[in-house]
Amino acid sequence: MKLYAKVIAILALPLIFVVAYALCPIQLPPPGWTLSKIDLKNSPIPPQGRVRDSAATCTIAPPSEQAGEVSPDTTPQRILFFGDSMAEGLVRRMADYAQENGHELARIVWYNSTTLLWATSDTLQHFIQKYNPTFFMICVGGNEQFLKNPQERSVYIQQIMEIMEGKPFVWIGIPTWKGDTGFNNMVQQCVGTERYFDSRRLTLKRGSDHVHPTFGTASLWMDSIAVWMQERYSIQMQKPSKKATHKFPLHLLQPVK
Amino acid sequence: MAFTSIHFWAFFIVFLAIFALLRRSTRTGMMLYVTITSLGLFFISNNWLMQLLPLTALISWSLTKVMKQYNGVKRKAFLLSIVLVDLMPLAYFKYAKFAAFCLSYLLNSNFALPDIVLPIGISFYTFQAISYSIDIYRKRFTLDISFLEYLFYLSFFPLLFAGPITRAETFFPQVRRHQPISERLVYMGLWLIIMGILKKAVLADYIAQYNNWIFDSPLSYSGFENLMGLFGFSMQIYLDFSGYSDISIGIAALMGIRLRDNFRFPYQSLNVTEFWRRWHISLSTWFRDYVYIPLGGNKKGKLRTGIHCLITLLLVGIWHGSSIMFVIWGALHGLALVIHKAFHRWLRLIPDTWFTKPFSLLLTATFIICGWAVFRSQDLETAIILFRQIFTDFRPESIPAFWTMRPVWLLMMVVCGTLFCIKERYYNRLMIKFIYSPWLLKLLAFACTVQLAIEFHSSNITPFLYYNF
Repeated sequence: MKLYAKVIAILALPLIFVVAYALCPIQLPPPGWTLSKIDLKNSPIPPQGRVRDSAATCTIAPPSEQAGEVSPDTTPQRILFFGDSMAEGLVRRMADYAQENGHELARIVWYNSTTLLWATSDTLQHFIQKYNPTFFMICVGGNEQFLKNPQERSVYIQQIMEIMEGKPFVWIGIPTWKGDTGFNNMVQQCVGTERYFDSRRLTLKRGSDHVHPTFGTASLWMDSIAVWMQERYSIQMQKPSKKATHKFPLHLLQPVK
Repeated sequence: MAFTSIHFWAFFIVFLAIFALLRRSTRTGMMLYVTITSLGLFFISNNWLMQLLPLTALISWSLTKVMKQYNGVKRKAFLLSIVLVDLMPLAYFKYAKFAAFCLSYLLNSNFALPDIVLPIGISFYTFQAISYSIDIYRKRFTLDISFLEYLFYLSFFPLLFAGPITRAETFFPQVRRHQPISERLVYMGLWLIIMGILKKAVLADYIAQYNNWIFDSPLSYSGFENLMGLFGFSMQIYLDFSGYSDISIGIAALMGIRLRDNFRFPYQSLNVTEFWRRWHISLSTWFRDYVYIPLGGNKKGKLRTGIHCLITLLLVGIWHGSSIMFVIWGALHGLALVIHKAFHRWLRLIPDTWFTKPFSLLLTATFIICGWAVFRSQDLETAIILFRQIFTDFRPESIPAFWTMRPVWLLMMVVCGTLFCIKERYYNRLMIKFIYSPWLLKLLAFACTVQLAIEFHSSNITPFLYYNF
């Protein structure tokens, strides 16, 4: 019995410490490096405070608590795909996917746009009213990669999510090649990992402007996104065997002067 | 309920305290308690599908008890019916949808079965039940087992979810002996649990993140990145599965039951035959004893030996899942075994030198790693694209950027590679040192392991790879 008492103590003491530390407001040790805490609300051991980039903070509550649970649906969707100029290649390839899988698709590419513009203007509401989408795809942030205080944009991301009224969406991250000041981490934290496609790991060929991916590479990028989406949602995203012949609406909006 | 979750450990600590009290007083009480707990865990995972296990146990145990009374043809007939009864649920839950899909494809129809939930651990407890009946039939196992003991054996929760597949002759004598538990066994269990958590929750889960990107879309990555993904998956599958096995065996050890090792440094194998003696030992020995040897083994000439190898490895592939990729993987290993056995007599004449040994190691490792590409890919096209990228789009200029962007991942790979090279005797020495170390050191080791798991744990939970089998 003494033996079991010793073993149980070995198993229990770290567990007690870990739970107590999670409930305790202080961080150990001093700033510079902190011991991660477990998140007692979620299972099994997702760590809190694990983000090492100090710019990636989001004071908004996790999306699943606010915007409603993502509800998978295998029926054809009415998809609204909107974004900045980075989305231009993606929306073209998305048309192939939409035709292959029977979805309706409306595409809005607003050059030089930012989360601020999308949140504060009525552009998004206008197109939502027009197309009544059941699913959103977002690719915004290309013009916000080097902001000094990217966490200030979290409130606009929240507003965009509120405009979408709890409908399912995916946020496609920007494929940075020069790094960023924390914008992508911040978006990921705001929308949740399950709804964020991290494009930073992709090596994409750039066009002549050395910024935007070529249309061919954007097509591959969209294929990667489709594989990821199919795993996480029941939305049909079978790889298309041919180019789309149907002309899905495409709105190219000019930069705000 | 994953073995690396905080909920499981909180539950296990309470469970162990009550288990320790019961074990001292009543063996029957202890078995009842563990069985109810196991079925409860099964219920949490699979809801009312959990009824399948006690039902299978009742039918299998009853028929085996009746079979013992007969000899000759009747005994054989009983065995056949027991095996069929045991296999039917497995066949339905694991392969019915795939069979319907194939039939629909051949007939060009739209028929499809709805999604079938796979009961957790069905592959493992089914094989345990079959091995028990066959061992009784062969009179290799002669103990008279009560239904409670049998249900305790089949539902034993450290083994229930993903093995290792344990034989009755290993399990029951220890349960029956009911001796006071040894300190060495308990602390060996603790060592294995620490190793398991490090392998699974720290290393495997972390490196899996990158590997999943590669196998999701190999075309989006350079050949070098694909190669890293392939190496990464080879590490991941070993760490994931052997880590889980270590935790299972460790928990069983804490409960006073010593199980056999399931992995013995498989990447140190010099040939494919040796690999299958070191990888998933409980499964490979099961197929050897209950498929390969009954077919005739190597006693019916070279041609038949080759056919038996192929059939056995094909079945091993099919056991892993209802996907053509597992079948191809099994077939590749079967072919490799056939080739090795065919040339074994001449290969034995080659001496082990500083050149031949590393060469054999490299050749075997290359084959195994290429096999994992087939095993992991969702379809043949993905595997072909992966290899094509490696050979036609290597892009060595991406190597420095890769090192810069993923230093922790690379460090983990280096750590894994180094650990794989450790000789078994050094590992065992380290384990002995831990077993006889002071209590405080053990506490520190476990605490550091837990905190490391928290530090490295990803937000995308990767269940044990073999959980799905």
